[in-house]
Amino acid sequence: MAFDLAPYLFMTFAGLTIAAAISILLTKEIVRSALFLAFTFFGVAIVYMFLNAEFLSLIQILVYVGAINVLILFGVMLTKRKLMGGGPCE
Amino acid sequence: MMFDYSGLYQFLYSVSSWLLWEVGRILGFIGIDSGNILYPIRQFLVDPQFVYFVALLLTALIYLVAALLFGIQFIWMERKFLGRFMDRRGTSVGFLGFFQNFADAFKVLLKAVITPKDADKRVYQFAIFAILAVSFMLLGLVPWDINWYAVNVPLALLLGLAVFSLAPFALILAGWSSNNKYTLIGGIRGAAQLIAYEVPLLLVVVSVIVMTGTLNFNEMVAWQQGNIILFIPLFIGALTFFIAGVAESERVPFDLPEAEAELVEGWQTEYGSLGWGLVMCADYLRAFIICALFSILFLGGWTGPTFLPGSVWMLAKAALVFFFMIWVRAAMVRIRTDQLLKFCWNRLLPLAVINLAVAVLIKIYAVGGW
Amino acid sequence: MAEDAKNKSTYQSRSELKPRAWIADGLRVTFKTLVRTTVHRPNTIQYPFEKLVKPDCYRGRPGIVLEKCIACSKCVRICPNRCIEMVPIESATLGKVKRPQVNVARCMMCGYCAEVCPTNAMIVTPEFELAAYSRSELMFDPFKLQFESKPGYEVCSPMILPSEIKAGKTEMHNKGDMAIKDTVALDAKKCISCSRCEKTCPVGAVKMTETGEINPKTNKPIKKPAFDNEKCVSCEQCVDVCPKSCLSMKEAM
Repeated sequence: MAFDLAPYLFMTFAGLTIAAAISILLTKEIVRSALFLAFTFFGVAIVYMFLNAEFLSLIQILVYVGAINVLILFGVMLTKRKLMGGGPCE
Repeated sequence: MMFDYSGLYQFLYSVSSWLLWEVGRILGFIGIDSGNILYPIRQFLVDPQFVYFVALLLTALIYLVAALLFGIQFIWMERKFLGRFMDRRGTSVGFLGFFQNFADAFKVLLKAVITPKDADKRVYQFAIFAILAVSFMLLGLVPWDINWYAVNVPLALLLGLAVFSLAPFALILAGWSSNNKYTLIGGIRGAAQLIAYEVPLLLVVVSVIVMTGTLNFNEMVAWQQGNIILFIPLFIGALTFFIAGVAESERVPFDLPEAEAELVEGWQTEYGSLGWGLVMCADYLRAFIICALFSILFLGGWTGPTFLPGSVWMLAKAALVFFFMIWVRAAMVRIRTDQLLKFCWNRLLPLAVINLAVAVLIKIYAVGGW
Repeated sequence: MAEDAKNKSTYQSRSELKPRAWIADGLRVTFKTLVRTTVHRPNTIQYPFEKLVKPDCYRGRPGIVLEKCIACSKCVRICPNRCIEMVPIESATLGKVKRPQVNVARCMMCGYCAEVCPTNAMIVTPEFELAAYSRSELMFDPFKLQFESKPGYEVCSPMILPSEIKAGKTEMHNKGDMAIKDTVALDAKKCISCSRCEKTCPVGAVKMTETGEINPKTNKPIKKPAFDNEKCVSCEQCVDVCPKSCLSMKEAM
């Protein structure tokens, strides 16, 4: 009995990616949004893996999660909180 | 019984198949034979795919234990050598003080797990797992001998660097979620430093890739065995890689993220008990991975006289590089943030570019063209 | 100029901030230390297993030689921490006597008690590991305090008086020299001839002697104390015991 897991795994990861992408929009806390963004990027990298594009997937992780997401977090950390409607910085 | 010692996978596969075969025999002994309702279970146990799965699980377990032991052992090495560098004895429990770290580990294990009151609890715990996963995954990527590895993918080096580049993200999350200004400053500093020093690190790695024409560790070592150990032509690159590696693993003189004089313990401040212990272990493991990468990229990995097995040469070379890290730690003072970044962009980046040019020239003129 | 360069404590020239100064020198010095400590041994003393050699004049806890003690209680007086107390003891050789008891928990090992002891009965011992499980164990009674005396344990620091330094003298006085000994002065008008000072003197330096006068009421000769300064150890017990406070110490200085 040849049982091919690949389509089910693909569906699982695609679903998780979409769920993470939606929760970026739904989360109130902006840092958590950045975290979900990282999950989304990861999911996209895994989808690339399913497409047999390993190099692209690794570059996706290296550039998007490793660099751009950290840049976004830096932006969040260096922005005054009042601008985003939260309480004042302590 | 005869086990297959030629490689980690072969060894574990033979071990697990022997184990499962024995289990099947015991099941047969207690009366589960063909015709019994439980017979399919026994058949399933000796199925080659299931054996392979068990072998995979065993590999993961061995790598987890090995990662923790590596961490403990290198903490011991650092403490012992630092002691000698500073004219004192270092740890002294057990043989040469080796069991001091185990005692410390048990102490850390018995502490209460405390989460700060206003911390973002989910992210706070996620950060630990992210750091641990990122660090322990790296250990699986590094081959110790021609057949001893957990994974051997064609893009191993790129995968390793991709995993390495995830650390600043976890750091900044850990710093932010602890709800403490020191951890936040430490996390931001750590992330900035790691991102900045990744650039020269990657450039040096690119020069190695240019020379060897591959991204696979095994093929790199094979190239070095066939031609020349890369430390000699790419001396500048090796130096740059070492300095960038010290900065990547947040060690003195680049330990700004955990500058204990100003930031208590940096981004780890609010972590306690086992979480902190594992993070500490992962820290040393990352430093050690850098050393292992250095020895693969520049020192020829497991190349060496054959009176010792290759993995021993590999470990010895990595330990030698780690010794240099300890030496640097004993000798130097912590530098300022502006000096840190200026040093990276003004000194290391030009050096890395020069090194890349050297690699390209050697590749074109000496090794014999593309 | 050369000494100035040696003694400077801050960075003075730009060359000291160059990498040779803060990278190469540090690496060199630490590597030298590593080689030295690996070939020989580190500077650390593994304390409970190995100990430093104590100097001969080491001042540990006080000790006592019971036979030499004359119970003058000078040590009680001098003790800065007030940890010495005279307690009555009974022993076969000495009978019923008073001897000092030291609360070692409070003792600060200054050795003053041994320094003032006129007979060198109080000594400083090289014992310093005094940890105990309870405070009562640290109350060293005279028998526990006993220690075999050796020449180095007695504290006999020679003294010189400020007045003598002014006069240009350099030679020192030993313990008990007449020149540095405080003596007792008697105010004869107040004395009621009770002879308590004679009874209390530990060395028998006080003698009641007849003055030649006769008490008109009882027709008996009036006796007043006379002090033998050679024997006296300036312990001030007679001063303390005098009911009319007619005795006082006259300082040698």
